[in-house]
Amino acid sequence: MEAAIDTQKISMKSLPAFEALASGHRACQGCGEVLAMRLAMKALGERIIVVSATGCMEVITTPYPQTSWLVPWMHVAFENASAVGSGVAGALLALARKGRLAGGDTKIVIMGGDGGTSDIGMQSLSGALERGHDFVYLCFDNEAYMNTGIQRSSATPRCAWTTTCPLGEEQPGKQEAKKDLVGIVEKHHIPYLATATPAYPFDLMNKVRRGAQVKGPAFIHVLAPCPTGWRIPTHEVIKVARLAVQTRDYPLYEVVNGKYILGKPGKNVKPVAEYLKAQGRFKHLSENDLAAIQQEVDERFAQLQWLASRP
Amino acid sequence: MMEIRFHGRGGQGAVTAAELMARAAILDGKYAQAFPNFGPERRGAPVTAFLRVSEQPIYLREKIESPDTVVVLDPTLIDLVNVADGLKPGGMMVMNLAASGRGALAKYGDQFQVAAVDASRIAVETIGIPVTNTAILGSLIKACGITSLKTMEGPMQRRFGRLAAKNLLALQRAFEETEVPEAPAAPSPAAPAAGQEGCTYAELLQREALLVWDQLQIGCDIDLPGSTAAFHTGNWRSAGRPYIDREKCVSCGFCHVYCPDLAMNFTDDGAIEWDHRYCKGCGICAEECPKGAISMREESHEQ
Ligand code: SF4
Ligand code: SF4
Repeated sequence: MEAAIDTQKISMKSLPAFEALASGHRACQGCGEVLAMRLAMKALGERIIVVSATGCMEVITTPYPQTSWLVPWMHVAFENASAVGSGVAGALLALARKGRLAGGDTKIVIMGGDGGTSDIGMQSLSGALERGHDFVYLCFDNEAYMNTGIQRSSATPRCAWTTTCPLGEEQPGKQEAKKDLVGIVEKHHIPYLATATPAYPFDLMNKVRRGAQVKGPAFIHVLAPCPTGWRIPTHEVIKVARLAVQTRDYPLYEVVNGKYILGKPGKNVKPVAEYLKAQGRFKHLSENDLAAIQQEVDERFAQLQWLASRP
Repeated sequence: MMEIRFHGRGGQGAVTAAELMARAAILDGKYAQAFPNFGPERRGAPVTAFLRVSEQPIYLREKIESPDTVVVLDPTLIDLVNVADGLKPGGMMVMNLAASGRGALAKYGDQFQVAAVDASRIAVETIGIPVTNTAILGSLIKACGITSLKTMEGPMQRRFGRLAAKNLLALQRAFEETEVPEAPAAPSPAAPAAGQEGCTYAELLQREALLVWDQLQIGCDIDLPGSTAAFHTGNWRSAGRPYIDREKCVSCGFCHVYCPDLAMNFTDDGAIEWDHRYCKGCGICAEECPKGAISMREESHEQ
C-alpha cells in the first residue's frame, strides 16, 4: 500500500509545494495560527482527512457556504472532534477490511484550538489517546478564546490580560496557572508528542511529519501567536513566537515512546521579560511579577532537562 | 427613530463608537441599541456596526438595511465597500477624510448630505494614534444631534478611564472642525446596488452571504473546495503593502514560508511574486526577510 505521508526531511530545498488551504481565508492580519496550520498541512500532504473542532481555524477557513479547504475536512463541535476522528479512523479500517478502499493509506488529522483541546474537548481527546487510534492531533494554542472576543481559557498563562480576566486592582489579569496540556497528554503514553511554533517552520513541519509516520496517536502542541489577543503588532508575530522559545518560556521538545528529547539549546538565553514585554496583554506586569515568572520558567526548564537526561 | 450604520475595520472601534453613543442617548432619556454585524473578530477586515436611537421603546432587533445616516471611520473604505448602500435619499454621511481626498465625495453630493472631517489627523494630534472612533462621534453629533458633547463625558470616562481626557478632546475638536453642508434640494433616488437581486451561486459566495434553506446541500456539504479564493482579502490592507527590492532579493523563499495568506509565491522561474489579491498587509514578510529586501510602504493605487 502506498504510504500516506512522505518521509523526506523538509528543508527549504525540499519544501513541499502542496497547500491544503486556498487564500481568501478570513484570519486576522498576521495570524500566527493559520500560518502554523498551513505549514502543518504542507508537511502532511493530500492523503489526509481533517476533523476540526469549533474554533478560530474553523470560523476563518469556512465562512459557510465558502471554504478554504482543498482536502476533505469536517467541522464538528468543540467537545467531540477526537471522538469523530476516532470514528473516521474506525470507518477507514472497516472499509479497508472489506476491500472497499482504493489507493492506499489515509491519515486522520484532528485539530482544535486551546479551547477545543484543553477545555471543552479534553474528555474526547483523552479517550481517543487511550484507545490508541491512528491519528495526528494538532493543537493550535493561542492561549484564549480569540475569535469570540478574547476570553480566557485554561491555556491562558498566568498574569495575562483577557476580556474575562481584566486588570482589576485585586486581580490584575489571570490569576491561575496555564494548564499543563502537554504533560496531561504525555501521561497517556502515546508514541509521539512534540511542541512546535511557526517561528521555527521547518522544525514544525518535520515534527508533524514524524508524528504522522508513527502508527497510533501523535500529538503536536503548537504555540500560535495571535496579534489580536496578545496585543502585538501584526509584523512582530513571528518575532514574539521566536522569543517564547529563546526565553525558554516555551521550550521545543519531543517525547518519542516516553523518551524526552530537548531541542538544541539556544546559545544566549534571553530573560523571559523580553517575551512578555513585547505583548500588550502583559504590559501591566511589575518587576516582581516578572521575577516570579522568570523563576517559574527556570523551574519548568530544569525539570524538562532532568526528564531529558533520563535514559 | 434614527438608524445609523458605522463602517470601520476590525480593531478600529466602530462597535465601541456605536456603544458610547447609545449610552449617551440613554442618559438623555432616550431609547437606544448598539450592536455589531455578527462575525468573528478579524483585524483589518471591513466591519459594520449599528445604532438605533428613539424616543420610544425599540422592538426591532435586526441589522439596519436602510439607515438615515452612515458613519465612515476609515477613508480607505470609501472605494471598497458601498458605504451608501440603502442610505435613504437625502440621508447624512459622516466621513473621515483628509481635505485633500474630498474629491472622492463628489459622487455623493447630489444624493446625500456629506459631512467630512479629517478625523485621522485630529486623533493623531489629540490621542497620539490614528484611532478615529471617538473623534468621528464629535462629527456625528455636529451633523445629527442625537446627544450632546456634555452627555458624552460620562460614557467616555467610564470606557477610557485616564485616557478619557484625550478622547474627549478629539471629540470636541472634530465637532468644531466638521463642516455640515446644506441638504441637497431634490435628492435623486439612489441607484440599486449592483448584484442585489437574482445573483448566481458563485456571486452569492463572493458576497459572503448566507444561503437560504433550499440552497443548502444535505449535511451542509460544500462542493466547491477552496472557494474562499473568490474572496479577495487584499482590501483588508490599510497600512501599506510590501515592496520587494529585486536587487536585494535572493529568492530564498522565507517570505513565502512565513506568509499566512499565501500572498508571496514562487513563479515558474523561481522568483518571488507578490499577490495583491490576498495580501492583508501584516508586514511579517518584511520583518522576516533575511536580506531586508522587503519594505512596507504606502500603496500607490497603480494596479
Ligand atoms: S525572504 Fe526576502 S530575499 Fe528571500 S525570497 Fe523573500 S524577498 Fe527575496
Ligand atoms: S504583508 Fe507579506 S506576509 Fe503579510 S499578507 Fe502580505 S505578503 Fe503575506
